[in-house]
Amino acid sequence: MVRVALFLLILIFDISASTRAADVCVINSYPIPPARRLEHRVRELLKEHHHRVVTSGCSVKVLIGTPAVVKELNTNDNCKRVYTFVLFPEKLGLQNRENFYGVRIFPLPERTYKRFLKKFCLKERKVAVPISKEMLPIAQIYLKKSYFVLIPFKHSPVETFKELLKYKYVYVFPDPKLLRLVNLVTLINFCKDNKLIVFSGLSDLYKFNLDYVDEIDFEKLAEDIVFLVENNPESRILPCPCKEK
Amino acid sequence: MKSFKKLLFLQYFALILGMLLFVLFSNFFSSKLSYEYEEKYVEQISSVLAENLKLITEIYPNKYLVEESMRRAVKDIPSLDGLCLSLGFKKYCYPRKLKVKYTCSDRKKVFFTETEVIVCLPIYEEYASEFLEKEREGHFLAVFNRGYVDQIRNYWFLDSLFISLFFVIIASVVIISIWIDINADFNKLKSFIEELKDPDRILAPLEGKLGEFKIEEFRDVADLIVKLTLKISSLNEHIKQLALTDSLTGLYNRNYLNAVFEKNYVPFWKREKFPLSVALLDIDNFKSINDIYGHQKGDEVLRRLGQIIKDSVRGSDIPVRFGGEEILIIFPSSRKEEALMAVKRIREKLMKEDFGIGRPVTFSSGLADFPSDISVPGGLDKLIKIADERLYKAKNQGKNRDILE
Repeated sequence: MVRVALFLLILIFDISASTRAADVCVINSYPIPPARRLEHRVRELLKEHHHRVVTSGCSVKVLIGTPAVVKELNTNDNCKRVYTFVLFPEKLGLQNRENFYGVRIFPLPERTYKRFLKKFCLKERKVAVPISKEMLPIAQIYLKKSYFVLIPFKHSPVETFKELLKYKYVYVFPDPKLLRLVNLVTLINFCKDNKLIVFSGLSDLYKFNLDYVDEIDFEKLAEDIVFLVENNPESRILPCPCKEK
Repeated sequence: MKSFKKLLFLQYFALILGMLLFVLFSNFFSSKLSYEYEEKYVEQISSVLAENLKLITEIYPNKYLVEESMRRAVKDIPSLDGLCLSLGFKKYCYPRKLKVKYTCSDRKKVFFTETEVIVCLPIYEEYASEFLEKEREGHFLAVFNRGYVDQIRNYWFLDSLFISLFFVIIASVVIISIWIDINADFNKLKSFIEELKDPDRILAPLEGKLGEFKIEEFRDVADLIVKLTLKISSLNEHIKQLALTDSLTGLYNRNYLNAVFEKNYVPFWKREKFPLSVALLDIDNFKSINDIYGHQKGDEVLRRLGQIIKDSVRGSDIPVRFGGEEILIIFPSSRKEEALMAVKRIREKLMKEDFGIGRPVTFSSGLADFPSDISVPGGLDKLIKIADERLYKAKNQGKNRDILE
C-alpha cells in the first residue's frame, strides 16, 4: 500500500513538474560583459529548473537590454516577457503592460539613499540631484520630493555647481547627459573639492571613486528572472537585487 | 639507374627552386597582408585622432580650438591630408573645403581612391556607465595621401622581399659550395679509379693524393680503393712469384725460362748480339745422398746450393733449377771463361759447407757460350745442349770439375 502511494506521489510530482516546464527564449541585446554573464547564468538556471531553452516557438521570452524590449513592444506576440537591463521601465510604460514582468537594473534612488545612510550612520538630509532638462520628467517619477531635490541643467552639470554647494549629499541619477564621461568627472571633481558626498545606484560607477555605490547581486538577479518565468507576481517590476555591505 | 651526382644535383636544384617559390609565395601573401595592415594603420590613426578631437569638443567646445587641433594633426602626420568631425549639428573640418568634398555613411569604412585613402568612423556617445545604451552621435572623416601610405607599404614589402631573398641567396651559396665540394671529390675519385684501371700504374703516389680530398668520407673510400688495389697487386706478385720460382731453392724454374726469358730476353740478345754463356751444374752423387741420408738431406743440400748461387752471381745473371739436381745459370754479357770464375766461386763455397755426411758436396759443370760455341745468337737450346754434353763429359772424367771445350 505504501509502495503504491509513493509511486503515485512520484508520478503526480513528475506530471506537475513537466506541466510547469516552459519553452524559454533568451534574447540579449546588450553586448556588455555583465549582460553576457547574466544571460549565461539565466540559461543555466532555466535548465536546472527543467525549462527548455529554445530559439523559436517559445512560451516565455527573457529579454536582456532596452533594445530587445523595445523590439518586443512592437510585436503582437502574446507570450510572456521577462526583462532586465532596462534603466527606465516606467518610461516605456512596462509597469502596465500585460505579460511584461521585469527586474530593475539599478535600485530605486530611495533605497540606495537608505542603504547609504545606514552604512555610514548618517543623518537624513536633503539630497541634491543634478539632472538634465531632457531627463527631468523621468527623474520626477523615480526621485521622491521628500528625499531628493532636483537641480536641472541645460548643457553641462557645471550649471548646477552653485546650487549644489547648499547641500551635503549628491545623488548621481542615470541621466545620459550627466553620465557623459567629461560631465561626470567634472561633477565628481567638484564634489570632492567641496567635500560633498556623492553616491549612486549604478554599480559600475565605483571606478570613479564615488563615496557610495550599490553593488548588484547578479546571482540573485538571475534567480529573480527564473522566478518571473515561473510565476506571475502582483508587482510586475521586482526591485534590483543588491548585495548588503 | 641515376648517378648519385646527378641525383644530388637534381635534389639541390629542387631545393633552391622550392626556396625561391616559397619566397615568391610568401611575399605574395605578405603583399596581400600589407593591404590589411595599411587599412588598419590608417584606421588606428583615425581612431586616436577622433578620440582626441571628441574629447576636446566635449571639454571646451570651441570651433577655433578644434580647428587648430586639426591643423596641428595634419601638420604632424605627413600622410594626413585633411580631417572632418561632425557631432550632432556641429561640423568641424580642416581644410574647410573638405566639408563639401566628402560625406560619410553610417558605417565604418576605409575607401581607396587613386590619390587618397578615406577613413570614415562613426562616433558614439561615451558614458561613464556601461548600463547606458550607446548611441551614435556623429562621424569622423580622415583623408590620407594614398602615395604616402602606399610608400610605407611598399617599403615594408620590399624589406621583406630583400630579407627573404638574402636568406635564399645565402642558403643557395652554401648549397652550391657543398655541391661543388662533393662534385670535386667525385671527380677526384673518378680520376683515381681511372688511374687504378691502368695495370702498369704505380700505386704508391696515389696514396699521397688522398690528402687532396675535402670530404672525409670520400677520402676513406679512395683510401679503401687504394688499399684494396695494393693488396690485389701484392697478391698478384706473390702468385707470379710462386709460378716462376722454385720453392725449394728460391731459383727460377723452367716456367720462367720458357715464359719470360725466351719471350723477353732472347729477342733482345738476338738484336744486340752480346756474348752470353750458360753453365749447367749437376751435384755429384746426389742420389747416394738421398738414399743414405734421406730426401731431407738432399733438399737441404739443394736449398743451400741455391742460396750460394744467388749470393755468388750478379744481379743480371739468371740461375734456374733445370732438373732434379741440375741447375742452369745464364750469364748475359759474359764469355764462358768469366762464367767459369763464378762457377768456381760457387764450388769453393759449397765445398766449405758441412752437411754432416762426412764429405764435402761437389758438383760437375759444363759451360758453353756465344760466340765461341754457336755462331748465331738466340739459340739458347743449342747452348744448353752443348753445356749438357760437356757436363756429361765432366761426369765421365771423374766428377767435381768444369768442362769448357
